Order: sequence, then structure tokens, then C-alpha cells
Amino acid sequence: MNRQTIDKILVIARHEFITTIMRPTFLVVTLGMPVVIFGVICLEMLLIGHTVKKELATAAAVIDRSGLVNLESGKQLLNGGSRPAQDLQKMADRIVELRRYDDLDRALDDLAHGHIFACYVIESDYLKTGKIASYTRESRIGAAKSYLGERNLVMLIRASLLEGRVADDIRERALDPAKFERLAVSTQGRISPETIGVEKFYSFMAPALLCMLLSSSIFMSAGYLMHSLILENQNRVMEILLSSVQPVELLLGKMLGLGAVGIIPAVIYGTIPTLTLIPYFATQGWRLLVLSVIYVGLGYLLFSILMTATGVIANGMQESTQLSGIWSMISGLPVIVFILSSDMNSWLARAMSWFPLTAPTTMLIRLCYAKVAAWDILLSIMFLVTGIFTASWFTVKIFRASSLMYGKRPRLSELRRWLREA
Amino acid sequence: MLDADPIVVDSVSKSFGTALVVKEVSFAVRRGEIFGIVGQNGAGKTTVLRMIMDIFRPDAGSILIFGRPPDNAVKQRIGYLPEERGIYVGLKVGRVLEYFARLKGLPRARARAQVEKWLYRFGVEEYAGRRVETLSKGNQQKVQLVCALVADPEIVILDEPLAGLDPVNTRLLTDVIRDLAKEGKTIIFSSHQMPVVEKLCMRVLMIDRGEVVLYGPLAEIRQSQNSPDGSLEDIYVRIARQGAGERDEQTNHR
Repeated sequence: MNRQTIDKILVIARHEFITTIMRPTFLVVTLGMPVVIFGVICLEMLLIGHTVKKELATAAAVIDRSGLVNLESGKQLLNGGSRPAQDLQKMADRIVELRRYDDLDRALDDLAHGHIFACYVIESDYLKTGKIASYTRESRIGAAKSYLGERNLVMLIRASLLEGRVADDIRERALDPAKFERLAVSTQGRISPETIGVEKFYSFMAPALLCMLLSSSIFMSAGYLMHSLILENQNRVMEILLSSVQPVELLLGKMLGLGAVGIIPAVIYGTIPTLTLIPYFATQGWRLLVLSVIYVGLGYLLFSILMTATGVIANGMQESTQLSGIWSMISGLPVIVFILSSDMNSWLARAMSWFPLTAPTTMLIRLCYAKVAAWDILLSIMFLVTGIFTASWFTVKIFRASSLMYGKRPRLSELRRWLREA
Repeated sequence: MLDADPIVVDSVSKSFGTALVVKEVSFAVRRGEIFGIVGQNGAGKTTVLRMIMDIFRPDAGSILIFGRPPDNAVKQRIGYLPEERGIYVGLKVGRVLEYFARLKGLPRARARAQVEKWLYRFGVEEYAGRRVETLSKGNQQKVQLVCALVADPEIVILDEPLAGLDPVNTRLLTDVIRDLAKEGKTIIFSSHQMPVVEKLCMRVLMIDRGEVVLYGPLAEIRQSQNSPDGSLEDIYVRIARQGAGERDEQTNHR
């Protein structure tokens, strides 16, 4: 590749980048979408706040016909009990206050007027049947709060029933029955403590986020490339362009410029999620980051070439968009397969890593969730690069032959002829 | 045919599928001349021009531009106005022209200067900041012509440049073409408008059904056709009809 060729590729790349990012639709979609999403979230929070305000009552009535529940002593008992039980109680108390009522009519009247959010009636035969009638107002938030009220009531009933009847250690276990120690067994039989909290979030969500971000930037850029070629075909500019540059230069320039365009929305949408990925990369090692970049780059190359071929073969924007859906579907296939099987080193996972069309997504998932052998990675990259060269060979040939067929879709026999003749 | 001629086309053929659209066409264009290519619709003129521009590759024969096959370096020295007019309609005139100038290898500053120069030459300098789609059809065509000339090419290939132009703009363009020839540029002018070709071109190539039927200086062509005072249009129509008659005869004979 000589200097002149590089200069031309850079001029095309710059032109494609600037004209695309200055397009009103791009600006609206890229910058407007986060604003719209933020606005929708704010509006939803306002509406929820408004609804919550209408359901201000935090108290619930308890009518105890069984005479078993001592609200005051039950609370004291819990407060002096084990730590988890205390924490649970404190949390529930913040949301729910249980008040003793003697008259059901008065309780229902208060409920109807919103002074209380629920009314629980512990029947006289409770000990035998466990039956408690629960009255709530017709409201979704009221129902959620009522669940907390019921839970709070159950804790108090349990404490009341145990009071003075069992030994302290039994009471302790009855109120806080289990402290689970969670262990995970790998496919190789290795036992390790199950990850919890932040670590668990990163080990599951971060790779998913990374895959989504990277895959979306691949397809966004490739989509821009396809649309740009269709637009040039519609504007009849192709012949003038080809009188100044070679088809390969044109394609490379477009791929470079529009690849950069595809990164912008990914950066804008993904800035905050990406920041959250920093601890993940720090724990997983930067090898993952480097390999991710390689697979995104190769994936973009492959799919942008295929999208170009689609844009050349298809007749117009609508048909191209429909046809290009095939590539997105194939590329998304590994996600579905891995939901069904958690083994990231199975023969299916390997086969998908070696098949160029599924390799980028498969490897992004596998690298995030499992330890992948170096030979496996090398083989995958090798097949992917071979796929890119094959697709380029095919695309450049049909691009050269068909770039001046304005508004006509080539037949299969014509495609065969171009490949033979070009 | 001299090797020093900037364009030498030697026995070039091209077919699309089973249709042979250009059959062993040979001609040469001299430096500083305005060379006319005429022929009916579908005669193969545009295919010949596209082969010179390396958009199509010939199946047989050779094309030499400045003594070498048309490659990237050679393309930099040719300005081309295709028959299928196209331009980025959604972009500003100045931006489109600067882009095409830069694709021809001009540095940014020189590209801008050239854009200004040519817009002024065609009287459309005030439209530099306007989007192409807001211009009239005639002015859009002038912008397309500027696209072909903006990089100061040594060879200018114009395929039906007068189509759609009013008489005033036709005169403007023919004056520009003459000026370019005076500056030593080599010009290929393909058109249906025989009177303009006759006035403008020094030598002519006539193609019929992909084959060369006439080639040479206008005076010699008139002489060879026994029509010293006849117009090129008369000669052209006669040859085209003769060709059609022969084909009819062949069909009847079969």
C-alpha cells in the first residue's frame, strides 16, 4: 500500500466520519436518545412519587381475636433477639407500624379513608387453622406494603408464641433458622465459595454488558457503512468516485470512517457502564480487554464487509435492512445457545468460536465467563481472519461489477458470472 | 498512432454476459485536441469511456494513458464527467467539490483555491455554502462539471456534458472546453449533439453497435463519405441507417 493510497483512504474516512456525524438523524439518535431516556426515567420517578404520596399511610391495624399476639412484648423480644432478626424487624418497622384495633368497622373505615394501609384479623381459631384475614385498599403500592405488613406480623406472632415457652437457643433458631454457607462446584469438580455481592455482579453483569456494548458497536458501524453505500448508489455518485479511487480504497476508507462513527454511540451510551467495568478488568486481568478489542475489530471487519455485500446485492434501503438482519441473527446465536448451556468449553462452544460468523460474539462471551485455552483462541482468530479475506474477495469482486447497476438487483447467475469474470 | 499520444486504445473489446458491446475498438487522442466520440444510444461510447477510466476492464486489447495502463496515478490526471450524473445532494457545494479535489490528490489548501476558481469560472461562486439539492438543475449540472475540472486534470473526459443545459450555459461550457484545449489539455467529448461536435472537435470517432465506423479529422471523414459540404449529422444518420439496413437484410436472409 503506497502513500497515495493511504492518503485517499484517509480522505474518504474523514469525509464519511464528518458527513455521518453531522447528519441530523445521527445527532438526534446519538445525543437525543440518552436525553429522552433520562427524561422518561425522571417522569416515571415523578409519577411514582406522586402515587406514593397518595399512599402515605404506614400503619396497619391488627385485630387479635385469638388473644395470642402481644404486640408490645413481641417487639421487645425481637429487639433483644438475634442480629438478623433485629435487622429485619428494624427494616420492617420503618415501613410498617402495627396498631392494635378492637373494632373491625372502625379499622375498615380508617382503611377506606387512607389512615391505615391494611387491616389484619387474627381469627379466634388461629392456633388451629393459622387463618388471618387481610384487608387492603385497591392500590398496587398498597398491596406491596401489605406484603411487608404481613411479614412483620408473622415475625411478631412467632415471637409471641415462643415467649417463655422454649429455651433461648431454640427461640434463637426459630427466629433465625438458617445461616447458609454457599459453595459452588465447577464442571471440573472444584469447590469454591460462591461469589457474592459486587463480585457476583461483575462476574455476571459485566461480561453481558461488555458483549452488548461491543456487539452493538460492530453492527452500528456496519449498518452505517451499508446505508452510506446505498445512499451513494441512489445519488449516482459511485461512478465519479470510482473514476478517482479503486474499489478497495473506497471500501477501506468507508470502513475506517464509519467504524469510528460506530464507536461514538457506544462511548456515549456506555461511558457509565464502562466505568463500572474497570474493577472487573482489574480482577480479570487486562488480557481480556486486549482480546475483546481484537475480537471487536475483527468482528467489525467481517460484518462490515458482509453488510457491504448486502448493500450491493439488495435493491434499496428497505431490502438491505431486511437482508442484513440475517447477519445480526447469526451473530446473536451464541447468546441463545449459552443461555441453554452453561459449559463455555463444550464442543458446541468451540465449534461456534471457529465459525467466522459466530466467532466474535462466542469468544466475547467465552472469554468473559470461562478460561479459554490459548490454542483455542489462536484457532478462532485464524478462522476469523480467513473468513474476512474470503468475504473481502467476494465483496470487492461483486462491488466492482455491480456498483454501476443503479436500482437493479443482480440475479444469482449474474453473481456467479461476476465472480468468474472479475 | 503514436506512443506519445496521451490516450491510446488498441483493439479493445468488452462483453457483458453474451452481449459483445465493444468490438476491437482502436483510436488515439492527441495532446491538446478536442476529440469527439459519437454514436447512437447503446453504441458502446460510455463503455469505452468507462474502460479508459478503469471502471470496467477490457476483455481483450489494451488501453494506455500517458504510456501506461490506467492505474491510480493515471486516474489523478483525468477529470471525468459521467453520463449518469450524480452528486451528494444533501451536502454543501463547496464541501462536495473539495472532497472530489482531495480524492484527486490535491492538498486541502490547493483544493479550496481550485474550488473557488472553478465556481467563479462557471458563475456559481455564491452557491459554495448552499446545499446541492437547493440549486436549480442547470446549476447542479455546473457543479458536476466543476467536479470533473476542479483538480486541473491533463485529460478531461466529458460524457454528454451538454445534456440539459440551456443555450447560454452550452456556450459557457464550450468556451471553457476551448480554453482548456488552448492550455494543452486533452479532451474527449462524447455527445449526440452533432452540430456542437462539428464546431468543437478536431477529430471524431463514430461507433455503431460497438464497432468503429468512422475515425479521423472531420475534413477527411467528409471526403471519405463523398460529402465535402455535408454535415456530420447527415453522415451519421446515413451510416446509422445503412447499418440498420444491413442488419435487416441479414435477418431476412436467415
